[in-house]
Amino acid sequence: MIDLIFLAFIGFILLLGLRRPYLWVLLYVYIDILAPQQIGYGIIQNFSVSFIAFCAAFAGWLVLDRKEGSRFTFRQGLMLALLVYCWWTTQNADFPEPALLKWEWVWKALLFAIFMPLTITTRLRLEALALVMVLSVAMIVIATGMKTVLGGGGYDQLNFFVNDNSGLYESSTLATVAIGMIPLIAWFTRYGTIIKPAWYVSAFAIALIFACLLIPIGTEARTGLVCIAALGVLLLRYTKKRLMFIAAGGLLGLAALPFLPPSYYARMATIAQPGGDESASTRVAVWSWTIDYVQQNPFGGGFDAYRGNSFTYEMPVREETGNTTTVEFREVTDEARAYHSAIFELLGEQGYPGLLIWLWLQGLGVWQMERLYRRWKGHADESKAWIAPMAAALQIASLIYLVGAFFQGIAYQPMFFKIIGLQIGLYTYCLRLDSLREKPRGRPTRSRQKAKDAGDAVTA
Amino acid sequence: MIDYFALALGHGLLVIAFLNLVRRDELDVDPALDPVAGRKSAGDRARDKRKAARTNAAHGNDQADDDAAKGESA
Repeated sequence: MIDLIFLAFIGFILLLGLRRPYLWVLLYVYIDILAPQQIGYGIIQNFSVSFIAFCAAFAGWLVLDRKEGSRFTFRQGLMLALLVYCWWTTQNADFPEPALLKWEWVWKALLFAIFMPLTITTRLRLEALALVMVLSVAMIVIATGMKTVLGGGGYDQLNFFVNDNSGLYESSTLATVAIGMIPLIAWFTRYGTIIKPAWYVSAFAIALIFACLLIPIGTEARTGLVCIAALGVLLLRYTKKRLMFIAAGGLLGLAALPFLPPSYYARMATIAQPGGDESASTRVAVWSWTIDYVQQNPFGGGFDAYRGNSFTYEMPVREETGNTTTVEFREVTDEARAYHSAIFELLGEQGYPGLLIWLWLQGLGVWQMERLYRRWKGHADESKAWIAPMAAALQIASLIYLVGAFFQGIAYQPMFFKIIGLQIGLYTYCLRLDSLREKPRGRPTRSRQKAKDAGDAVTA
Repeated sequence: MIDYFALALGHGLLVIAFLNLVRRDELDVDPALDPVAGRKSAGDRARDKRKAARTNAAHGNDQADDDAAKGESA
């Protein structure tokens, strides 16, 4: 049944796209985030809905769409360079088979990220893309938040729509994305034109933001807590009453404490004591292994190069017998431990050139959004007032991603390439607005000149 | 049940958004970037012209002729 509903929805959007081909781009974004083909378990799996939507989006843009304002920007060039470089390292990978498996989804994510900004040529397209991203993530967030409130949380225990740790259906990734989206959700309460600001929009947004904050609690993802702290610090810049904001944040945190489950305290305590948890203690070991590895292989070892690592270390193991707790240090040998950090993932897999391109791509986004914020803040005119807040929201999304990415191997997470797509679209749009202002007025047309002459004659 | 609720809510809002988008010309032509688009599109102008012509034929009104001519030159 649910398969048929998904198919009906996808078919409906495909039909609407005949009139507005850009809707097919939005359809692909929805499918890529929510993965309805993985949620359904029947007939929908017979259709490559993702492939169909991608072909429709690309062909629609190529054949039917206006391409006025489409520009290939430097950041798209960086993504193209990363794509070509990843292809080259895949050919020379240490572990060719797993590398090919990862390459199969990475190239698609990068290709769509390069293509998508070409289609974002108007304000409404920017807003529509942001809205589809928010609503697609919202479905996962609402379900997860409700399960958390109703007591179904726990690390690796919360059931998502899909339980295979793919895409956004991985607890730490979802927590990072959910926290990073909060400023964008708030943006819609003031500047949305598709679903116009009203009390019910604000009520939905507040409930959604609350659900986003519940994700790190429900999934017990430590990275999520770090991201909430980072968000709080970043928001200070945009808050007029900072002391009040800090006090309110502290009070809210304290008020939430009694409602948190004991397992949450136990897991969060390991942030400060990384030695007590295997997942945390191996990170440091993997990172130092990667630094050694890249000295020998400065151009990287291709995707999944971490499979070559192996290290032995001592980890404290607690054992409780009656009222006594004994801590014993045991030797643990780990093999093929994942990077647990996008920085080290890139360093190990793509070497220094790959890391440089990726950092350049991310850093440029933060810088461009900063420029836009400073250039457009304070505009009261409705047609311009939305720009600075959107730039700020996208900058925060990038920074939260970078914070989260330091503790997770999410260097190629498609969701963040979509944020980059939005940033490129916004930056290009504002450049066009500026060039329109700077452009000297064109020569008067013959009819205008005639009218002017007639006017002059009358006044004379 | 929670999953179905979240999916229904999200898809309902997406349908509203898509229906809104399909009706809006600003999706393809931005009025802030294309001042001409802020006025009527070529299709709309042609439609107005045909309408004016029909009004003429029905009423034989000279004034309508002038209006249509003005509309054309605009």
